[in-house]
Amino acid sequence: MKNILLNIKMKPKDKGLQTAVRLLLLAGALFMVLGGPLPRVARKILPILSPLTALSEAVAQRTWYAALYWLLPPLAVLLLAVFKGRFFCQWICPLGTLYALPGKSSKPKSGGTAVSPSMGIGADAPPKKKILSLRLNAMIFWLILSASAFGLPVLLSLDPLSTFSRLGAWREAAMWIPGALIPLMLLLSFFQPQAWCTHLCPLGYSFDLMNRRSGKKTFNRDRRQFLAGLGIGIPAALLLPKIIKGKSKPSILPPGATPKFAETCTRCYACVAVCPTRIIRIKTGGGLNELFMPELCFDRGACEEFCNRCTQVCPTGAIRVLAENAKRHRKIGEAQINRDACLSWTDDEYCMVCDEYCPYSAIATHTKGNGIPCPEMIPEACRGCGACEHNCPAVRDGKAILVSALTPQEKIPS
Amino acid sequence: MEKLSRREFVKTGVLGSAALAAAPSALLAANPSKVDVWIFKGEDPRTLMAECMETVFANGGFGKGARKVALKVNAAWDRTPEQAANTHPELVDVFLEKALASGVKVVMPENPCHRAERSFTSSGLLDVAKKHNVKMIDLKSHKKSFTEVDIPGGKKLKSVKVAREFLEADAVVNMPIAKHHSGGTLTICMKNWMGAVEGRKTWHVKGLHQCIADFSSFMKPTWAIVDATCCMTSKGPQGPSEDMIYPQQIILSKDQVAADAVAALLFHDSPYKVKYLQIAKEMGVGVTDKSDMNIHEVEV
Repeated sequence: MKNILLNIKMKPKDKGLQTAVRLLLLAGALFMVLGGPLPRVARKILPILSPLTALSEAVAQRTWYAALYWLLPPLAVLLLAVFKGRFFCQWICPLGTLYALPGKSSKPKSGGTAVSPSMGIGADAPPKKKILSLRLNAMIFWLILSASAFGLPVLLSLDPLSTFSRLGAWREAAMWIPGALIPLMLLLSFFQPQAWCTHLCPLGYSFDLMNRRSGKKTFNRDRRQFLAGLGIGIPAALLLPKIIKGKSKPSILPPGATPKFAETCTRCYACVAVCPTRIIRIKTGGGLNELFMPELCFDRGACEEFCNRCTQVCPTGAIRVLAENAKRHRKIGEAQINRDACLSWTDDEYCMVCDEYCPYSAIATHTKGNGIPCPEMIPEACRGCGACEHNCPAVRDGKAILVSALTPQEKIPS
Repeated sequence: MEKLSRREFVKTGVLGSAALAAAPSALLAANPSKVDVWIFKGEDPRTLMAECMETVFANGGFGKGARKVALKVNAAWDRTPEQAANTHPELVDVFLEKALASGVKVVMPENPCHRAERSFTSSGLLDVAKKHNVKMIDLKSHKKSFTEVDIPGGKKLKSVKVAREFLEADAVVNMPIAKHHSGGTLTICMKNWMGAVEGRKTWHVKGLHQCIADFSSFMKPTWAIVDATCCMTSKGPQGPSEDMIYPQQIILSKDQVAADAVAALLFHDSPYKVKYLQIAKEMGVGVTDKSDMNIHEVEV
């Protein structure tokens, strides 16, 4: 099979350079998604580079993301594709580099020289047997785009840059369900070098499509896949969420989340990784379009009053950028007291821990006849931060104060 | 005596606690005369604190041969010094300056309510600690500090996990800010110990006021120093509160119950409006009546 991916012809000398550049960028990308000493915003640099994400997000939101300058990086990547085709895949994509590693180690036998093989895509001699013979890139691309347009975004998580970003949330056990793609594809790469890149990657296909020389040819060649993608994507988006309805209460979303959060989140988990109290978790139940979506759970802590980290790292605008003060007044939910479970109301204990921890003074004190202070909600002051729920000491009938989600989110008076 | 009891608990464990069952009565017996309480009044917190430290050193300091001092401030909340939810950093600054100059080592362990990274910083206390090269320990992330101890005199609280730093110190200083508290009515010295233990949530289930009094019967500081320079009288313990009072006082005593009782009078007409003070009186943990105290009012 003639490899259309190889648009750039290179001398062996350049291949050494390419390998070095790719390994360096892989290390850099790992740094960015794992955080460390880098500024927080570095976590979104990688996933934001994907034009596929930007496009799908815009299609799903029916609007361009407000912070236009964040559209410049994917635009630059897109322009690169127009002139250089899969240059991004061959030189930059850290996931591609990762998947090239097994090929590099298992390759030599057939080759004549013992010189280290190229890290370039398609430069390796084709292996004898292919596990994956059909190239599905085009179909996956159109599937993602059409499904996003009709409100089923789950496949957007196939975007390679979001996939790579997911590594940043390695501490979350649930990350390994959506994150399993990486080890799986790595394994496949041992048998079929870079099978992901050549046969599956939707982002790579978009580069082929945008290329001014091969674009038209690519589209014509893959017309059937275009139809298949649309043919599966649109009905799937319309029907599946209605058929597969998980049982779960509405998720409390990170502050700044748009009403189309589930549709526009690429599951890059940058928000999960930066949350200082680790309350942004990966949803494991619920409906299909909420599959593996980040949600808030107050088991480990509460949404801090002076923190806006998650709003700073979202690459798609599923969580809008909020200044610290705006975030401080963003109502994401509302607490409700269950008097039957409450230590003060039912057990006549001095408690009021909910009030103690509430940073918004959203809990009033009602003193009972016997002098025991009891909590009463002031709903309009509550932001739904979960400090009360997290700290409520009641155990007999579970927590006596629980936050329920508010969508769309509102402002509380300052 | 009391210093010994704390150290014994951690060193000898169960055996030690059995042997020490008689300790509380011995402690009380060592207090035949009235309890000294000093009230320093003045506008400048730094001179107030300097005066307070002079009194500390004029009355035995941290004890003979004391080398390690564990200081329990209140640095629980992500709030600024002006909001008066944490011990004022200026006072702690002077305390550390004078204490270190006397030749002791000081550590500041705290189990904060908010994330330490926030509360230690906003309170200004981490800066002060760093300035003096004093270790401020976040007990939330340093769980191995916690050591289970028995509370021999405890009615509801029979055992609890306490930060080792307090158990192993030669002298313990309890230095909270006095403020309103929704569940505890007031939080001053006795309630401040909830920031030295693990699993404080269970106290509310067992009976908050009883547990506070129980723990204070075990953990008795060498000195209790109350920051009553600026206090919130509502929306405590976190605030922010609009109802602030400015007593401009520091209250000092060797008896934390007496210090609490005197500080309580800044908020209420009787210390017994605070239930744990009533319980402490009944249990004999310390004195609460002014008639049992030698009150020295010092204008600074």
